[in-house]
Amino acid sequence: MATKILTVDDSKTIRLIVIRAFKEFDCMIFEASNGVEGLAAASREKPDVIILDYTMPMMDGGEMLAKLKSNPDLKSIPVVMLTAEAGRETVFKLAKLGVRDYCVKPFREEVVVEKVSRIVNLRPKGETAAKQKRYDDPLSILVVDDKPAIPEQIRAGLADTKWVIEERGQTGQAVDSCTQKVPDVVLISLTLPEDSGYTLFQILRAGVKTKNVPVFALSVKTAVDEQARAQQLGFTGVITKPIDFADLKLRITRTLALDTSYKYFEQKDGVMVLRLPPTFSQSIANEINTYLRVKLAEAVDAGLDSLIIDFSEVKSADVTLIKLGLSVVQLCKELSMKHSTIGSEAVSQECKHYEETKDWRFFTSFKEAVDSLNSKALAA
Amino acid sequence: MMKDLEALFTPAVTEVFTMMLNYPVVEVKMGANDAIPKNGELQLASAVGFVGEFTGVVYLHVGVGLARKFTCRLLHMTEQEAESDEIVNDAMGEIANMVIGYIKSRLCESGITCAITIPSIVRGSHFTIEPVGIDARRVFLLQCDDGQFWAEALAKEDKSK
Repeated sequence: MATKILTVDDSKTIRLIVIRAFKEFDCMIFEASNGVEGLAAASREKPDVIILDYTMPMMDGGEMLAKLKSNPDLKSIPVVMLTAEAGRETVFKLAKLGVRDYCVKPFREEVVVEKVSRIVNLRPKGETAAKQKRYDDPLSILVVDDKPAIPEQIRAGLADTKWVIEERGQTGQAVDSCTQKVPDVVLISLTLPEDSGYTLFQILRAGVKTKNVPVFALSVKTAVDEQARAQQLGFTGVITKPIDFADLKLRITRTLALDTSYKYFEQKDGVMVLRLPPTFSQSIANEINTYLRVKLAEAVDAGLDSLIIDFSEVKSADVTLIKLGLSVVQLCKELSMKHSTIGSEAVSQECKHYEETKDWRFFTSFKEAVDSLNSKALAA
Repeated sequence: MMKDLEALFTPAVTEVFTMMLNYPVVEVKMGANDAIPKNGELQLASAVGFVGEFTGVVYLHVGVGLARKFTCRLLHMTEQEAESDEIVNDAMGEIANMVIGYIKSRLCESGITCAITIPSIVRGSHFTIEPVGIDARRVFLLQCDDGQFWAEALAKEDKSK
């Protein structure tokens, strides 16, 4: 949900500057031109934060603040003063009334944003959409390492994705890069000179735009002290070198909650298809289970009444695969979906070992499976 | 106290114009009793007053064309977007408010208590401000890339002090 900000200032100019300052964030800005309007807007909109001027006609900022803090419904709304009035007495008076922070005019927009971001969680616009990114989107991965071989290795290791690897050798360059374009993920080497990797992490965490970006530490497996320090500081995780790229992809996928359902589910020729990959594991079973109910329900909702479970590419099968198959069949029954299966030698052999699956019939092609579903429909 | 204001005025203008408009402004030295020149151009005078131990008023006199340029810089607008007089008036009032607010804060820090008034705007081609009961007057000529503008500080000192 967008952060609600109420700007109360008799100057339209200042209200426009405040609107501009927050335009990159997921915010709704409400305006009022004096304390009376400000109180009414606060009651009506219940903003997350109020940015308040002091010298205004009708009712000044001090009086509005006092009335706000004496109203049980409004007193918890944090107030940041933005005013040319910076006399010590006024500041003390407002502090006593419970003002959370103070910006003096003239001011830098980023200072106001920073002060507000200490009070409420400002999310850059579009971040919500970013959470729904797909695994095959061109994610931007920033690698900060002074040894060019590491970004090269990462680029090669992630070559089967569409992810774009940006490399920076110095922390200053990395900060500039993040200011221009916020990356989806940052990987920072802990062996950068003078502990600058840790400093960079803290700068990114303090930045309004970058504070929610996942930051992984890159560390040699045996350097346990630096890994512990990174964990304590709050890095999203530690990637040890030599890098296990399957693990790196999985961790990025989980951290960004990337949508991977397209790898397994597809609507084709009027039926839903669940396609199992050649190499199957418990983590893949978990991933499929995450989407299974939603995807099948979506298919039913879209008017599809059949599912083809395609095992044809599976090279080795075990009990995990069998369990998944059984849960898919059970869900089809719950949703009144017809199903049929395309097999592989490994899967059909494994199925014979279990009472529940020994009679499963496998087709050898998509067409055969579809024909089977159609004949079931005719028989019904 | 006029001396305090004199010392604070140019830093205040510089601070506001640099921080809010990203626009360097310098003071051009002139005589204490020099009059504000009238060239017939429509002028905009934005005024903010001090009330308290230090009582007075500061006017910023800016040609309307230059005022519109200041507005555009302050609000990141094009001249077409800043066409309305209302928006230019408001922006100039806020610039004056910030300049005087800066001075007022420094005066308060040095123990001179005062409050500032809400900005007011006067527009016209041929007007003169003739203050009553004023003890001191000082005119500042300011120069920026797009032209010159004037500031006029009028002060009445608290005789009880």
